[in-house]
Amino acid sequence: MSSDKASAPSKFRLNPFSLPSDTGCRFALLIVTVFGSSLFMYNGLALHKLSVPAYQQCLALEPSAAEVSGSTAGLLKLKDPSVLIAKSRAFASCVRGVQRSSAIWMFAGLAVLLLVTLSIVWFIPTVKTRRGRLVPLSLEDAPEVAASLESMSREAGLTRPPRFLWSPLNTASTGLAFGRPGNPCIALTGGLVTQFYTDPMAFRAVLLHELAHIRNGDLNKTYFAVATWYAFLAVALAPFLVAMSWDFLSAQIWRVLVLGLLVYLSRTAVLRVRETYADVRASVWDTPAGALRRVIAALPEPRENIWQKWLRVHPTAPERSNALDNTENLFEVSFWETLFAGVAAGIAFPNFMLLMQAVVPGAIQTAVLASLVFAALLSGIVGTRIWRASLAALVAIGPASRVTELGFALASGLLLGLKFSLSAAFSSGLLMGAKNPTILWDFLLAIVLLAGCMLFVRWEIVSASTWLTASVSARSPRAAYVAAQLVSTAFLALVFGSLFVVWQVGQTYLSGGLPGFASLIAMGFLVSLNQPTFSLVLMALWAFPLAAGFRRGPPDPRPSSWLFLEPSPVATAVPANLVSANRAPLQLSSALRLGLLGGVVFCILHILIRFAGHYASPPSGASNESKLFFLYYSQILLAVLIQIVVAGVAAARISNLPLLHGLLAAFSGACIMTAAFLVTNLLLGGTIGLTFASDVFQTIVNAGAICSLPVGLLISVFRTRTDRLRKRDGHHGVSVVV
Amino acid sequence: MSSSEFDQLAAEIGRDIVARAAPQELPLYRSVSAAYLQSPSDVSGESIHKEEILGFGVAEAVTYITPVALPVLSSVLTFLAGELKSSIHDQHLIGDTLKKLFSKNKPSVPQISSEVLLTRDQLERVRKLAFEKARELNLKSKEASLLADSIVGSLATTA
Repeated sequence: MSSDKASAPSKFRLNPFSLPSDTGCRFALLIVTVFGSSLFMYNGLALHKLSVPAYQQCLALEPSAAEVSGSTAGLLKLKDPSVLIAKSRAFASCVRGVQRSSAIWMFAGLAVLLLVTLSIVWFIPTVKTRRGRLVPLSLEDAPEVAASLESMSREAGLTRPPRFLWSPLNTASTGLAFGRPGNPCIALTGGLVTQFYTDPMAFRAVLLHELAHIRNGDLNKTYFAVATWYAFLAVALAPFLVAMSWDFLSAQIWRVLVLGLLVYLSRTAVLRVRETYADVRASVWDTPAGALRRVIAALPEPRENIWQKWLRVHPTAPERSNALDNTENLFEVSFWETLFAGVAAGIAFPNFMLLMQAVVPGAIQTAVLASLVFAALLSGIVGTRIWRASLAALVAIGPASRVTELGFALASGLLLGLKFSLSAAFSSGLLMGAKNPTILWDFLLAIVLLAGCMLFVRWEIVSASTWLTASVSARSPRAAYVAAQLVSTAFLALVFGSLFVVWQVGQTYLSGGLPGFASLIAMGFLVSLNQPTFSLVLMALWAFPLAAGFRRGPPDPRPSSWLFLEPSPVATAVPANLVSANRAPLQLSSALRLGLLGGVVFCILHILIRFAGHYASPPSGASNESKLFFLYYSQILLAVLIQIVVAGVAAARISNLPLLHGLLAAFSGACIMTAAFLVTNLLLGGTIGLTFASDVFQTIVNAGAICSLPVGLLISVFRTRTDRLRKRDGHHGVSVVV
Repeated sequence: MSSSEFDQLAAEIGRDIVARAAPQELPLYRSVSAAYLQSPSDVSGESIHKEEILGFGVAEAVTYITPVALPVLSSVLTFLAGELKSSIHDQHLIGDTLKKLFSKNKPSVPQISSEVLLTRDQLERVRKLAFEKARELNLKSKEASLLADSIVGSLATTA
């Protein structure tokens, strides 16, 4: 037996399996990229072959501007509109028909893509078995080897051992996990089986790595990723290149190439990262005298140029060796990966919208559905990475996630993706041929998108920090992680959906004049203020991270089973940052007191105003309605202003999670303000209906939260800076400042 | 004799050669020779070292001689059959004679007549052929040399 330079890791390694792995994130990204790129192709084909001529037919049915203007005989005096209505209906019906046929084309394309992908996944094991001349490795072939494989499968925690196949005449020394879903196989070359007799530790290392792929659930992802690439080439890219006109292709070929490259890079990224996770998993089973490190260190280092480096399906030997000893590399969240996630979502989003438009009735519903789907995907991909990075930062082995950098990466990725999408391709002149008159409006929305993305990143960091600390003694942090992703999905969906609707309104109405457009936006904002979903999401933003405070463990938590790969028998193994006692406590009662104070101030002012107004000019005549309107919104404004002050004071006074405490203070104040508003209304002869009470509550809470958010955020950022300076000056204390 | 008969003979004789060149591979000999007999063409220079792009394995030099030993031996047997053709009157006995040639140290096997024993020159040619064939099948020089020596060492000679 050869002497191994391997040794057990000298320190506890952070467990990369405690949260969903990056393999899953990259796989999800691949699916989004393929989905978006394929829809681009199929929608392009549908537009080219079916829709453009059909749309032109529809245009003939559209009422002309002269017909529209001619329908009014004077100010507020309409002629018989039935002809105009009939024409409009015919036009709308025609457009819907075209959209439906485009959607059928796209659905059919996606169905074929999926079918081809699944067929390839199904046939890959057959092809591998035939090409590799694989035969079952039976007990008669090599009884000791078969027994060892059986034993290693049990060690790997597999309930059912995989099928072991081998190619007796192949002198290479390689193992490969493959197989259909639910039927995993491991192929061994003859050279590898020989190693059982000549270098059993190396044989074991290779087999543990392959078993780790099965244990990590890599097989389906791997072969689905491989199959997706071939299916994309065969039934999306190739037909698109063949069928599209040269005029279109010559103008848009760069876009097509970028999409193809993105799909390929996503596929390669899945294949690459799974290897590192399999190594780490195998290293847990490998004994101190094991050969895993030796085998990995001896892997050949190919000479590659920069492109080959990007496209290779395995990490380099030094990268793999390093990951075995320092798993923190698996907890990084990078600018480029976040940008990539944004680009993939940005490409797919408008194409998905087009698809949904034909099957979901109503533009708002379509926007909500599409926003929800993509918010869930981005939350799953970026949010997971942020949680992993936050865990590494908490145990002080990784850098803290950079909010501005990641928020910028996500927002700019989304915008870049939208530019790569088909709608951008067609709006760049092929269909419309018009210049975009809403550049300034788009720019403003981009700023809002950036702010939303930064808030999302910051919120994920805060939630991860609070809940990972709270879960240190729990069996797993996954329940908290899942709950956080649900909340962030709702928040992102709200941001995306609102922005999309507002953007569409801008596209349609901005050219009609700014005053009309501004009043439309203001009206939309006021309507959205009393939406219950809005309230729930805004409340969850502060309630979820703060709720972690109720689950904080005892001062000396037991060493957690999920935190490290190696079982840590001593409590000292738990990093100081993760021990609740070392962290600044939550100050919920302070926040509630401030909210109460704000509520009382509102009560006094509100009662004074209402009674003064009531007795000074009793309600009478036609002006009453406008007076009530003015009174209602002036009191809402007062409530909002007081909430801003309360949130600002709370954020300034409370050191730990200042923004969240500020929002809690504003909310608690808003509850008292709503009660005061309704009771006063009742005392002055009004009524309290359920709808009215709900509207008042939601408007006060939502408007207060929206306006308190930037103020609290500014103060919390200021606190972060001053706390950093204090730490630099020698004050030591751990707190997450948001 | 047909090539499949030579392969069959190589599989019979090969165990002794493998026992000399790579004794650690003996536990796998039965399965490997069976696979070889089923499809001798599977052992070719191109496919023999082919690794799965998604696989993981040992990059260090792995000595695995058996799959190469069998086609090499088959070639040597074909060569020897040609060499001995003139010395053997009954062509049906070629197989037995070749077996006897490779049974130099087996007392149970009847000894071969001196007229079919190989000369030093013939042995040199056998070694060269075995070495070149092994190299052709991508066996490293050191192992190819070991295999060629093991084959030659198993043959009965005049001196």
